[in-house]
Amino acid sequence: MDETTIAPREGHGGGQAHQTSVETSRRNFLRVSAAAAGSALVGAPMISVAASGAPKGEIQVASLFDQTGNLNIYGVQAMQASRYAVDTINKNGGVLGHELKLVTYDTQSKIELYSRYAQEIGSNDKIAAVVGCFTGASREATRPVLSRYGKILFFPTIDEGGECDKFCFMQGTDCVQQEGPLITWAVKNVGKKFYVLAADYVYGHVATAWTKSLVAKAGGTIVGIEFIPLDVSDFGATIRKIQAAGPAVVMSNLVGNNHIAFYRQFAAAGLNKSIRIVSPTFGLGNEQQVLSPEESKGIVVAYSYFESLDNPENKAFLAGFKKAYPDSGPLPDAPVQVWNGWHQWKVAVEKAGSTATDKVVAALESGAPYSGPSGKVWTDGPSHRNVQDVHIAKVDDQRNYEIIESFSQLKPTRKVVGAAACDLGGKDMKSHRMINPKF
Amino acid sequence: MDNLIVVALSVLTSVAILILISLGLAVIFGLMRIVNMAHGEFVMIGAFTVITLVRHGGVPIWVAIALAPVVSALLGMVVEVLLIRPLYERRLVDTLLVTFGLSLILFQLAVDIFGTTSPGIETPLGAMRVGSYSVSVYSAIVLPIAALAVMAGLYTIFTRTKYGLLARATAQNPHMASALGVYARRVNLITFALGCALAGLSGGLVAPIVAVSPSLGQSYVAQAFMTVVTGGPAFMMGTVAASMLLGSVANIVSQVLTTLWGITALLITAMVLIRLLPQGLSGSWRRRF
Repeated sequence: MDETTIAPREGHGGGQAHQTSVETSRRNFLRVSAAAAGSALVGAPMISVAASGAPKGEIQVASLFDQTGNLNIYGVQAMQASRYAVDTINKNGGVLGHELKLVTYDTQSKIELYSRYAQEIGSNDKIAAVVGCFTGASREATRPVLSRYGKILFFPTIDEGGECDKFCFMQGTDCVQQEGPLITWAVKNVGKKFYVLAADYVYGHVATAWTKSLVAKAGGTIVGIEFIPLDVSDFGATIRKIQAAGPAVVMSNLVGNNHIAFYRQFAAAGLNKSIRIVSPTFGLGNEQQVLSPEESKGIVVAYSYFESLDNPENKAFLAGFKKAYPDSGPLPDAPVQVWNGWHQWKVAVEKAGSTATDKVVAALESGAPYSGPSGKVWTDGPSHRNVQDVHIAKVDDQRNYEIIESFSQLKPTRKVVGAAACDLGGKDMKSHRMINPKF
Repeated sequence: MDNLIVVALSVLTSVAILILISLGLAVIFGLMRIVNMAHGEFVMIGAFTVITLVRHGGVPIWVAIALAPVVSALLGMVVEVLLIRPLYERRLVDTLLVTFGLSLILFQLAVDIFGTTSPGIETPLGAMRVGSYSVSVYSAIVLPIAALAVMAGLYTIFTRTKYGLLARATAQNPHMASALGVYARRVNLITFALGCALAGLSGGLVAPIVAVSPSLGQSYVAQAFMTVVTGGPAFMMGTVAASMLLGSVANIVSQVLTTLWGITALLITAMVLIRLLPQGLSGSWRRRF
């Protein structure tokens, strides 16, 4: 979701990335831990896979989420989901007959702590896998360090794509999985004229590039595009321009607290009665809680999980979670992806018969499906992103989501906007890179 | 035609917001030579006052907005007595540090009390039609009127009241004013409280059009500082003139090009102005408030 920070050496657009990525990890590594640098700088990245294939005693796993600070609105629930998932797995007999032990790290909404704890996790041979990080920036502080030490990372948040690492698995939906259904639905049910608003940073630009190509494919037209800096909260000029352009649909790729003001000012000008807002980001920052029911009513979103999904796995999942954490509030997409991450890992470990990273990665890439609260999810081998169901839902007048259409088993995209595609199929275990989108 | 009216209303809103959020800072800086780094947090406190009163106290929104400056002024008085007063003789740098520290503390307190995403209140009064456009009554009418009322009120205070006269005298020459029997402590206390009240009022007024969070003040404070600096020594009318210029430039460029260019134009205008008129817009005016 958030901007990604680690850029490989300039001018590298695609296939020749192996050496660069080593450089990247090394630079990052140097930055985070000067103390341990001496031993680690010898030669190529050391990939210390869990010592023996068959573990003895308990298996340790780790999570890093922000329990305190600004971002704990996401982190607290994510950690609860992580604990709940590990407890549930243990109750059902553990993994390969071994009990899991979850080691938790509070990253305090500070990027530097992600790097430091990643270093700790990396140098701890007992830890077999990690589910964690929330923003793109936190992932890019953690991922290169973990990859260097051969640890698997499952990342639960939606994001714009570009991350392409043999040891990292992206659980959240990508732009295409969300915007595809939204645009298809809007063209069919609302109208063909779109106005696009987007946050002026990497996510907004990538999402908007996808919006353009998907709208064209669906037979719609775009009557205006505007990128809004993240610190803007006065949308007067934008709202006039939207009215002048007269779209049927506003696609909102807006992000962050200041941008919530858009929905409020849009409703205050009375536009929510004549123009439909669809958005892949609305709800991530609890927008529907900040806005009044009148203001958020009718906004259409797309995620892979909603509490109202009607399947037995979800009912059992929700009942158990609400019992364990009665005060947690409504569950959005990401905590469920944390749960999925642990379960997909378990399925893969049992398929591989080992917690060794290379074997688990191979098992995940071969497709190790898991059916959970959000339906069937499995890894698309080349992109390391989930194939999953996506549902379109409308905010009702009680701030709840009413599901209006479901799309089954949507494939993630392997393309990165303006750059090469991510294809990890058949790559050796040293392929760890970030493909920077260009727009 | 309707297009032009809507653009004009939108410009008016932008200018009004800039005037409202800058005046509190301008009063404290102009009269006391203190840069109140916690200005944004006082704006935020005003906004949270309104939201808390409306959502939890069932207070009508207009009453809540009227109470916002009272709350922030009371807090401002406490701050003045405890933190600012001991530092009068070493104003600029020391008070800058103290108020910066205060802003960090107030921000974190707000996070602890209200969280980072708390429910807000919707914009009152609905929409009105202007030709083929529809605009928010609150943004287009209420905010500009409020800005005008605040300006008129301040003007009256500084020209028609004893406090206004003494405050201006203290600002021009504090030692002479003291020698002539002005009780500078009380004048300063009132001035600081007045500045904080204006900040709180602006927060209360913008609360219904934005998403109020602890970082609300920070998103406005940079603009407020720029406006005050561009305004120059006539702290009140200079700030108003700077708000009109910067607010219009930012909004009109946003209308013609994009929001990003609007902000760029605002920054460039401020830079060019300061380069050409280092004393600010009001540098050559005879008026000093």
